[in-house]
Amino acid sequence: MKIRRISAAAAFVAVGAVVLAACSNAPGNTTPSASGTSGATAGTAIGGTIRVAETNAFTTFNPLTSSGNTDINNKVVEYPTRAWFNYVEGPTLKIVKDPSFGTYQVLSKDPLTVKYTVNKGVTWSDGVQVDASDLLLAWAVDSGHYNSPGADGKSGTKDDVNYFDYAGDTTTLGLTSFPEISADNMSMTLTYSKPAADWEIALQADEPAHVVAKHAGLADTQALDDLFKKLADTAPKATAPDPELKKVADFWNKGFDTTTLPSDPSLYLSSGPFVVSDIQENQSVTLIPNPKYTGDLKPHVSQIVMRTIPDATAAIQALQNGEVDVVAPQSTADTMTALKALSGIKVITGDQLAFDHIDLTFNNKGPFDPATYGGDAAKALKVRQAFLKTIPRQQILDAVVTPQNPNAKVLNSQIFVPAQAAYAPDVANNGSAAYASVDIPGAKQLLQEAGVTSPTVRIMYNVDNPNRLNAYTLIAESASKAGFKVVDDAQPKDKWGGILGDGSYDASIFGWVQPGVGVSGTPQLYKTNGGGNYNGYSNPQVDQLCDQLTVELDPAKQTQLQTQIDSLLFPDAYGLPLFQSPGVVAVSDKVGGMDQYNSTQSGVWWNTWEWTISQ
Amino acid sequence: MASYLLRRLGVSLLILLGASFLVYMLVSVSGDPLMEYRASNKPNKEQLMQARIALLHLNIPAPARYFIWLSGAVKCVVPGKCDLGKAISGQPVTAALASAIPSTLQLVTAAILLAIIIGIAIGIVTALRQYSGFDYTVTFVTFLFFSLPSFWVAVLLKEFGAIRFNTFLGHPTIGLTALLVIALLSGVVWALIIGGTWKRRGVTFVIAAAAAAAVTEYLSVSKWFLYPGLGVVLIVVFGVAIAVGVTVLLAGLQHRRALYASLITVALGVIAMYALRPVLNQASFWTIVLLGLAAIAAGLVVGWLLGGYDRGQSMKAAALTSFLVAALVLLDRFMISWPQYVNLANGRPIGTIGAATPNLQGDFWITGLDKFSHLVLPTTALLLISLASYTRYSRASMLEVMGQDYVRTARAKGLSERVVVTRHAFRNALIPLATVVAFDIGQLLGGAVITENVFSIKGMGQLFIQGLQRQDPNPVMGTFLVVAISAVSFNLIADLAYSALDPRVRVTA
Amino acid sequence: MSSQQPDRLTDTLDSREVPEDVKGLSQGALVRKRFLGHTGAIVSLVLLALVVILAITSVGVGFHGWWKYNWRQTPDIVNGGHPTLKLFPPSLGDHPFGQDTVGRDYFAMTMRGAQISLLVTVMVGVISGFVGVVIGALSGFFRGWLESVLMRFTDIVIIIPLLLLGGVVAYNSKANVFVLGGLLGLTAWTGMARLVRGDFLSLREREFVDAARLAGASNGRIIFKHILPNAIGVITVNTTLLMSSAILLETSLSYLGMGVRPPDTSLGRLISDNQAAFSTRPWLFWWPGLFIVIICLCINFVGDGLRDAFDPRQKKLVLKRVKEPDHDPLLEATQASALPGMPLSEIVAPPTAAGGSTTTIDLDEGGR
Repeated sequence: MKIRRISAAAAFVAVGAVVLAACSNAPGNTTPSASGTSGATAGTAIGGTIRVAETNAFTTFNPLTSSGNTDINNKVVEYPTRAWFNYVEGPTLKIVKDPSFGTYQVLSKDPLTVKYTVNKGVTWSDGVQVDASDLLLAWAVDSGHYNSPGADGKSGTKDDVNYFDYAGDTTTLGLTSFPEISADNMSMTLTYSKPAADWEIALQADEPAHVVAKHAGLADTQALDDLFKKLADTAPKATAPDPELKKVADFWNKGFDTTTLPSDPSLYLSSGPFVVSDIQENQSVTLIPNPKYTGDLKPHVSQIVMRTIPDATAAIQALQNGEVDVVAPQSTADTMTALKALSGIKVITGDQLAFDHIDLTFNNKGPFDPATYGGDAAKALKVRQAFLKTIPRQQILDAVVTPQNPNAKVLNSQIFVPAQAAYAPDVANNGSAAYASVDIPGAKQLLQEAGVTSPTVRIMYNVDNPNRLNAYTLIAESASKAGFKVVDDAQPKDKWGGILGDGSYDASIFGWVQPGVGVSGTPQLYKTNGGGNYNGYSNPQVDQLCDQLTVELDPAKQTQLQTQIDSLLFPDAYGLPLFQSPGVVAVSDKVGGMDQYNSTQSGVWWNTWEWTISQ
Repeated sequence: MASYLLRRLGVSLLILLGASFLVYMLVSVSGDPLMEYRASNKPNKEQLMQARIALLHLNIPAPARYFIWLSGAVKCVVPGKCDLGKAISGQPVTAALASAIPSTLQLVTAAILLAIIIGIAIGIVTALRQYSGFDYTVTFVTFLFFSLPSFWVAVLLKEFGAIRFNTFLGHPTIGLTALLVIALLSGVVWALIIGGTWKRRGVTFVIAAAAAAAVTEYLSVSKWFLYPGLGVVLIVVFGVAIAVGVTVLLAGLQHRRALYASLITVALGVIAMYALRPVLNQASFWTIVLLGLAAIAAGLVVGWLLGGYDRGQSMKAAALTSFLVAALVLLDRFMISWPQYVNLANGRPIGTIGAATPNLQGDFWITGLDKFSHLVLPTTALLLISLASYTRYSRASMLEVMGQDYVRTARAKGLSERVVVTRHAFRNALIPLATVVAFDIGQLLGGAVITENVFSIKGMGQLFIQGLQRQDPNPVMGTFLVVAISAVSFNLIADLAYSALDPRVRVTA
Repeated sequence: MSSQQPDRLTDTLDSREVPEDVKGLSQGALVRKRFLGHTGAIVSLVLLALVVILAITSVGVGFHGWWKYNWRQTPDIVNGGHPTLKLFPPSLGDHPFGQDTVGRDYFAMTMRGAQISLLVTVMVGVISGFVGVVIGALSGFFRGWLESVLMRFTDIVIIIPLLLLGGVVAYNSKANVFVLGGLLGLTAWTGMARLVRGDFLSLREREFVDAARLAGASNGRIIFKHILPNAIGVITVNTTLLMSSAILLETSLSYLGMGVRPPDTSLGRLISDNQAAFSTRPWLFWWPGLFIVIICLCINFVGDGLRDAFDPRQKKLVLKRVKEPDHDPLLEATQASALPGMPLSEIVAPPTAAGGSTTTIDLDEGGR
């Protein structure tokens, strides 16, 4: 038996050897037969394809709606498939005009009047001319003109009559009256009732008017124009929705939502350099050059594929494996090191327009609220100052940012970022020097002066964001050294946002994302009852400056006003900026046209027409 | 029987009702669909909230809301009328399920099948060699895989199975160190499997190590990794081995007619390989299915013609051999297209994300290879994790059966060990596994949440977990419903299979 | 090769056991003997105990452990956070497992993670073990409508996705690790209930139960004194399996962001938090992973040892060894020397159903 087994094993091996010898001609055998079929399929245009990994899945061709306004819909639709009068140049945040689409000019500064004219021959990908009807639809959406506060005269209540579910800010275009359309239907003129600082970026490229009109049951774009005209005065005061406009708005709100390629090509028309050619549900979107595009921003690649990869590690591994050419993972010390270790990969770093900060709550009867001390504002101020003095900003920076960007510095302005020219002069005078380093004895002394012993501070933060958690860990340790009793109010990622402003915490650590262009962000955050002023901060001087800021057209004066606001925030111990979040994009060496980090929401997608790929 | 079935179906329905109610309640306390608006400072916040309340019936308390959901779900009995509500993105859940179910099936089918086959094979071998070195090693390794967190396995697989392997494919030469490691490993494994005295182990070790080294070196030198293929010689050799093996298992070598029948089908297979080459070049999925069926039919015919006294056995052996040889031919044809596919994939064939390359254009062979190269890693990850339980269950079951009276009787009447194991023990050992397998399939259809996540495959698991994370109740309920129905029905199937396989179990009304 | 060792060990133990078996050992003693003979299980048990002791004493639970850091402190980062553990010459250094991003000592964090993971594991084991046994025992013993109701309830619970519970816990942020463990325990018992019921169904038909009933024993006494001790094998084995899957389940939940909430941590949380560090700071990934694998592997091996120990057919080993001598003179020799004077037929006799019941009666007597 034993012998039989051994011999069997030996025989097996022997057979193996024979087989090996015999199969040595296998490659020779197979190669010719393979060549018979390879010619038929090898001709696909794989060479000109750039594959970009993104976190989220594509859901709609209308990224302007509140449900569609996710980064990925914007990236796929806005820049590649919408030509417009201007665009924001990613790295410099400059507004660049595209005269091959059309022109706009300021006819008068007071009242502010702007005339937009589309060039003849600029068409949608179905061959229909882009004209003033498209601009009018964009205005109707972006201005919120047709929405009415309802019978009670207050907006934000249940009886509001709203049409377009527009995700953007309607304040700027809300200042305009019904526009004037030229006789050839190629120009539109907007007249503002007040000067508006952000006028140049307020009007955005929208859906094709002829498609919206058709699907809303209207005869043509003329009918749509007439409808807008008819309701221009009555709608803002109406208490019941107009059924016709409602149909238009309903289609605009939901009609472009899809996770697959619609069978009706009019739902994904493009006026830009690219047009969508394929969608794999939740997995990929493919863009190809738009054959009808006549503008200057001509594409250089034959295909762009957006692939959805939610997991950052998976995205980096996919880049490493050559399955994608571009990834933009959340920047952490580890992703940065991992990316830098890869060969054949270009790592582009920069600062995001986001910064992390700690805010103190002024209106919750907590340790930082004057009301706690019977309205003694000076006492509350001392407690706030004492707490801010304990914040180890350098240590947080070292733990979170320095590993990614060795040159990073603590952020010392609530309004500007170091890349802006206004930052340095602002920081010199804004009072941030008082919190330059941790000062535990100073904090203790301030507490003593205020006569407050071991105040309890509840710190709220998003515990699922490792940067916030790390910041909290360091702040809690440091603040307790000065005698603060720190209570951990950790919130999960889907909850912390809802808690903002409810007064249940005394300090919060989170991040602001600035739009990058325009000044409307400043009043939102620091004006009394501003939309993003969650900590109940109120300073009449700041309010007044904010009001001036929104109507100021001169950029130099805007900066001056913002500097003044910033230098009021630090003495008030509003809170402290911590650091500007670093960002990273990793690009295969073969890809050209992506050299600088773009801090806006559109990421690398802002210049798809400049992308190239070598073989 | 019919009344038993009806009663079971009735009970299953009640279970589904109860469980779906319970899950609906749990889902309703696992998130607030209005959360994103509560924090928003949009001017039309109130209206958005109203719209979502209307979409999800949030103004109705959860227990009552359940019945609204149920009334839509009940309509699923009528095809095309199904209404499982909408996701907060407005997409009907049925549409989302329609795209998720196929990708999950694609992912888990191969994993389940392989886990069952490999798991049972390992389990039975370890049972036959209980407490041998092989048994201990296999137990340790399967437990180790079972103990590894699945995303860990996935990340490691990507690193070594895809990234490094693809890099290796760029310059497929095997260095001396690697060669030695492979040789040693192969020697140890074979020595463990074959076992026996120290001397025999030593001999096995040496032979196996040498053979492995030779094969590896040969593959390396001949650029086999660049231009893989079996060629007619290997197909014949493997085919003969299959024919002999199948005959041994199914009929016994002394049944010469079965052996000849099997060998003839091997010859037929090789002839077909050349004859059908033009057909194969233009093949589609259904061509392959048809050819597979034709192969089985050919085997049956050959077996019938050569039949002899036990015609059934010959037919079975020949059909199985024929099918396996057809599979070899298929494999060879895929290998022929491999260099072309590698070229299309820019020299990095094994994928780490998704289930296919987007916009890939190619014939059946290219798309097939694309699917294979994308699914091989996630399938391996799932396989490694589920292997442990099958191995353990089949080992335990086999050990139990080997101790039964009828096995002793079979031995006592002088049957060979092969017949005892294959005829008497093996089949009976499979019976209890039917339950485990059915239950597992039911569960796995729920998607492999983590594997899908790491490999970016948009299946049921993703739908479920994203619904949960985005506080979107209807997709969660939709996936739950599919999983629950499959779990309940596979349970029923398991019970029926049990009674069919084990005559001692009677289904009683 | 080391693989030969366990063979011999079991052989000798087994052979010693046979005569003692004749003398009439209690089931407990038999199980203990068999378990002690399972090298893998013993090694695992010792290792597991060491891990538990290390995790509890090093950073302490409520008290200060012997390790100089706790898992909340943020000492300055030394040596870029690299582990200071050195094998040659052996020294721990300041941070043997390294430090995380903000400088927390990774050994302390891993130990804390191990505490939490073990806690979840034990909670799931205890709770689902208890619930499963109660439900399985009640339905198996009393049968009738009670069985139908309980088993249908089991069928319902069995299809509730465990991840959903993670979602519930994650959403309700005040829910802590005890709630997580409790909820998982309250849903993971279904397999146990089915197995225990199956065991009870067959045990309640046995002669010794009839005998006890005739002797006037109450239902409670029959359940606790007569049937339960016989089902203890199934229960223990299944509990260990439950526990090892619980630790992996917790890991999966952490990966999906639904497990233990920071700033507290668990082993699963640690690796999923640091999975991006896989190639850059591998120690953040490997240490907690190593502990998960150790704990899980040990529990599995202990379970495996228990299964074999409780299995009365364990003696089959002897059968196997005797069957082979004609192939293997070496083994034959071992066997012959180990079992002097034993007639072959007696050893060969396989454990039949009758054999099984004798053992249980033995146990029953031992129980009294």
